[in-house]
Amino acid sequence: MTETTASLDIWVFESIHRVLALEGHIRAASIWYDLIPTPTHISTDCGVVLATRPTDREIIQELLQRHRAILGHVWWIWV
Amino acid sequence: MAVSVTHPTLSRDTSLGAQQELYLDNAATSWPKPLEVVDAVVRALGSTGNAGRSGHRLAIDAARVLFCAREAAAELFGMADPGRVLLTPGCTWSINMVLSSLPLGRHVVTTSMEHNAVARTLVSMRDQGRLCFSVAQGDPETGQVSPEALASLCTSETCLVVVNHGSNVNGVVQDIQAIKEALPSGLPILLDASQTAGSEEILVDAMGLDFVAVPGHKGLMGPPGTGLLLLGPRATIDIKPLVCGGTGSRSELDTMPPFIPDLMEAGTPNVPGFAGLEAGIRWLLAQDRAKLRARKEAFLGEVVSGLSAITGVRLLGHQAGLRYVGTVSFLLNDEMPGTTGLYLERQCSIMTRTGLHCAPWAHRTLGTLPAGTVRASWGPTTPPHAANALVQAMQQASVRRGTEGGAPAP
Repeated sequence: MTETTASLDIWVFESIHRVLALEGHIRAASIWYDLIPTPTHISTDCGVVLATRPTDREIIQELLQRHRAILGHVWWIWV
Repeated sequence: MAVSVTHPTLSRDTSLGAQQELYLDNAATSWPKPLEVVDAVVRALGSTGNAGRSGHRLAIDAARVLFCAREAAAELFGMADPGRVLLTPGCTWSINMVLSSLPLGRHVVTTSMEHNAVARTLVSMRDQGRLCFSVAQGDPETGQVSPEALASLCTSETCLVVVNHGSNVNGVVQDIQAIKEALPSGLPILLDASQTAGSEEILVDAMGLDFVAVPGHKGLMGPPGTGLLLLGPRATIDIKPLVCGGTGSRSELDTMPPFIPDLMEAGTPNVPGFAGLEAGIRWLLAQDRAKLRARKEAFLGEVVSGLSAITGVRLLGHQAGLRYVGTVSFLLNDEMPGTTGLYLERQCSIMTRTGLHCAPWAHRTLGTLPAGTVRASWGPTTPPHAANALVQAMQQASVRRGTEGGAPAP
C-alpha cells in the first residue's frame, strides 16, 4: 500500500499485540493504514507503530474509545 | 534425499480407520494432528521472521501469527481480551509461572490427584522455604475430590487453590463450579486443564476463572512446545515473569516491560508452533463439538463395559454419574503394566501408555503405586473402531494369561 500524503497520524502502543488489535478494527472499517517501524525519536515501544491519514483521526479515536479495554494505553503523534 | 513417510497426516491419508496401528495415547499428546496444523507450521517456518523484533513484513507477519493464536484461544475459552492469553512453552511452564508469582511464605491448597507439573513444583518451592501447602485427598475409588475437603484446608494464609481439572490417570473430572462455590470468596484458583482443554467447556470470563494452564499439544491439537496461561478478568495475584529477557518492547528498560503479554513472554517466541496451535484451535472450533463429545462418550462406554466384562481386568476409578475425559486406566491381574502395554503394541498394534504417567500422587490416591497402570486415551482423531479393537485385544491378552480358562500363549 502506498501513501503519498505528506503528514500522517502515528499511533503508538505499548505492545505489538495492541497494534494488531487496532489493525483488525481499522481493516474492518476499510480505512487506509500502514504498519511501520517505530521511529526511535518517538518511542522504543514495540517496534511497530500504526500510521493513518489525519483525515481519519476522528474515526480512529472513536475506535480507540470503543475498544479501550482491549487496546490499553495509546499515544497519538502527528508527523 | 528421499524420505519415506507413513504418518497419516503427512501422507494425506485421512482414512484413519484404515490405519494398521492404533494410537491411544492422546492424554500424552494428541495424534495424528489435523492436516491444517502440519500445514500451518510449515507455512510459518517459510514465511515469518521474529515477532515483535522489527518493523519489516516478516516480523509483522510473525507477530500476526501470535495475535491470531491469542484470538483463537480467546474465542475457544470465552475471553473478551485476547491480551490476557499468555503464550508459553507448555502447561508445566504455565503452572510454574503462577506458582512462582506467589507471595513468599504463603499457603497453597491442592488435591491428591495432581500431576508432577504441580506436585514437584510445590514440593520444590516448599523445600526452598517459599511456601507451604496442604493436600485434599481424593476418593480412593474414583479420585473425585470433595469441594468441602478443599475448603476445609483453607486458612487466612491461603493465597491459591490448585486443582487438576481432569485426571491424566483415570480421567475423572473435578467439578470446578462446585469447588469455586465452596471456597472462601475471592480465593483464586489455578486450574490445570491439561486433560480437559478442548473437550470440557472452559469459559474463563463467564465461569469467573482466575488462572487456567493449558497445553497446546493435547486437546487443542497443536504442536508440542506450545501452551497457554489464561488470565481471568479478576485474577488477583500479581503475575511475575518466570524468565527475563528481550521482548521487542520498552527496550530502554533493564527490567521487563510492566504490561502483559510482553511481561510474561521474554525471548524469541515459537512462531511456527503457535501457528500450528491456532490451526488446531480453529480446527476444533469448526468441529461439531456435540458430536465430538458423543464420540468420546461412545469410546468410554464401550471400553468401560467391554473391559469390565473381561475376567482378570481391573478398571480403575470409573463410576456412573461422574464426568470423565476420554481416558481409562486398567490392569490385567497382577501383570506389570509394561508387560500388558508391550503385548498390546507388539501383538495388537495398539499404543497405550504404561506406568505412573507422571502422576504418583494420583496413583497413591487410587492405590496403584508403585507399578501404575495401563492407560488408553481417546482423542478427536481417534477412529471409531478403537474401542472395539482395544477390548478385543485385552480379551486376547486375558486368554494369554490364562484367566479365562485358555492356555497361556507361548
